[in-house]
Amino acid sequence: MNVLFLLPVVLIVALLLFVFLWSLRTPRKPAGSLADAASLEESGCRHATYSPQIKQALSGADLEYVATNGGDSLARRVRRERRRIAFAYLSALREDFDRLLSLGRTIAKLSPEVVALKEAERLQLTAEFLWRCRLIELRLLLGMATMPQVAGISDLVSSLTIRVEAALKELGERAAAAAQMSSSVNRGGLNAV
Amino acid sequence: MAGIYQFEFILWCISLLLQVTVFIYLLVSKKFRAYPGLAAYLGINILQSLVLYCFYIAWGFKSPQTKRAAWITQIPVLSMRAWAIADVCRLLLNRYAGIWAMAWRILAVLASALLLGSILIAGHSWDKVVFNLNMSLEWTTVLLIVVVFLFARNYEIASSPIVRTIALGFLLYSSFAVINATILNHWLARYSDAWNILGTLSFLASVSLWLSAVLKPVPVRKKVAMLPADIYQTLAPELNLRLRTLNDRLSRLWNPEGHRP
Repeated sequence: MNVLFLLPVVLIVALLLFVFLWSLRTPRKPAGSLADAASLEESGCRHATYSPQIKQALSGADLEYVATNGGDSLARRVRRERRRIAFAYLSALREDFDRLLSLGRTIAKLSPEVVALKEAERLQLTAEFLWRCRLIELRLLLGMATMPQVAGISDLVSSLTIRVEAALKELGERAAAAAQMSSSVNRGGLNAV
Repeated sequence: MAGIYQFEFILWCISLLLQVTVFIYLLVSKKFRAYPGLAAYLGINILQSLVLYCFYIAWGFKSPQTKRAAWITQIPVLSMRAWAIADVCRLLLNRYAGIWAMAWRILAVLASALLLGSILIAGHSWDKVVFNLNMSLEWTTVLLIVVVFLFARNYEIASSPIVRTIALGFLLYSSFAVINATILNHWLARYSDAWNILGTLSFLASVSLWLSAVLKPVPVRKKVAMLPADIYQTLAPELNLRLRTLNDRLSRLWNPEGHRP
């Protein structure tokens, strides 16, 4: 008895059921609220402050100095270590952006009007961003990215993180003001999300 | 019972009894106000069962009249199911005015597109039209429920266990119906008896889930404080612009030609 005709349907249904169950999982971070938005500015986006150190760590001059004075073996070890640090740094910066995106979603959630096109665009941009990040990380992992490229990434993310920081600061202030305003009108309703 | 096998008839009776239990409980406890779609769906389902029972007695289980009645009475049942699913979406998202306003439009467009597609590919012969339409509607149900929960997930909107259980009931039944209908379409004659039994069994499981959901107390829906509208209007484009800039620069970085000034 040939049951292969059933396979595509069963696979699609199983996939949809899996997606449904996945969507029911509790998010890693608790659902955002106005108070969370207000506290984001204080807690998050601090990785950009390490940008000069990262840049220093990835500078070619440093590595040349180590190679000249400490030998090739030490230089290789230092390069490996520094690559690991760059990797961790990139991952931390991605967390910053994740936080920013989460804040964006929280704002959309708590807004009386939401524009579908803007939300769709953000979804698409987020997917693109994550995909590119993964590619660059993979390149780093495989040692395919040269040190100037990694330094370039560092420059890029740190400059953008500074802009994100500014945005977060503004968001935090505005969210805090809105939270204050709302709590004076409807005390206790802030964390009802 | 002319034509109905004993086991299938017992299952059918249990299913009907369970539906009546849930329906009466919803009415007596006044919980139908919280779940009007589910109550209406179960009410219509019970009515359909009674009408079909009369048809079975009058014309027999496999007569053309009974078959036609079974398919025709599916129309109000499916309409009420659409209401019940819309109700699940409402219960999940409507505390967030902006998200809900966007979501129901997207879901309505998606549902309309799926329905239109179903009608277009349903075929011309009477039996095929209703069968294909029914199968497509089951697909629509599954897709809509998954999409709405993905929506909630994306915006970190927590769903109450009751809404989840009701949705799971619809999802299980429709998923099973899709698989069941695919098998029936392939092995029509050999499978038709088993089809009825398996369909009833999956529906029985769904009604049990709904019973467990409605027995729980209706959660108090607290009002959510909204932000001023201009925050979104100002910051959403800014956020997208930043992401686009970042993507462009990441793309240039990835592409070796991107290093050129």
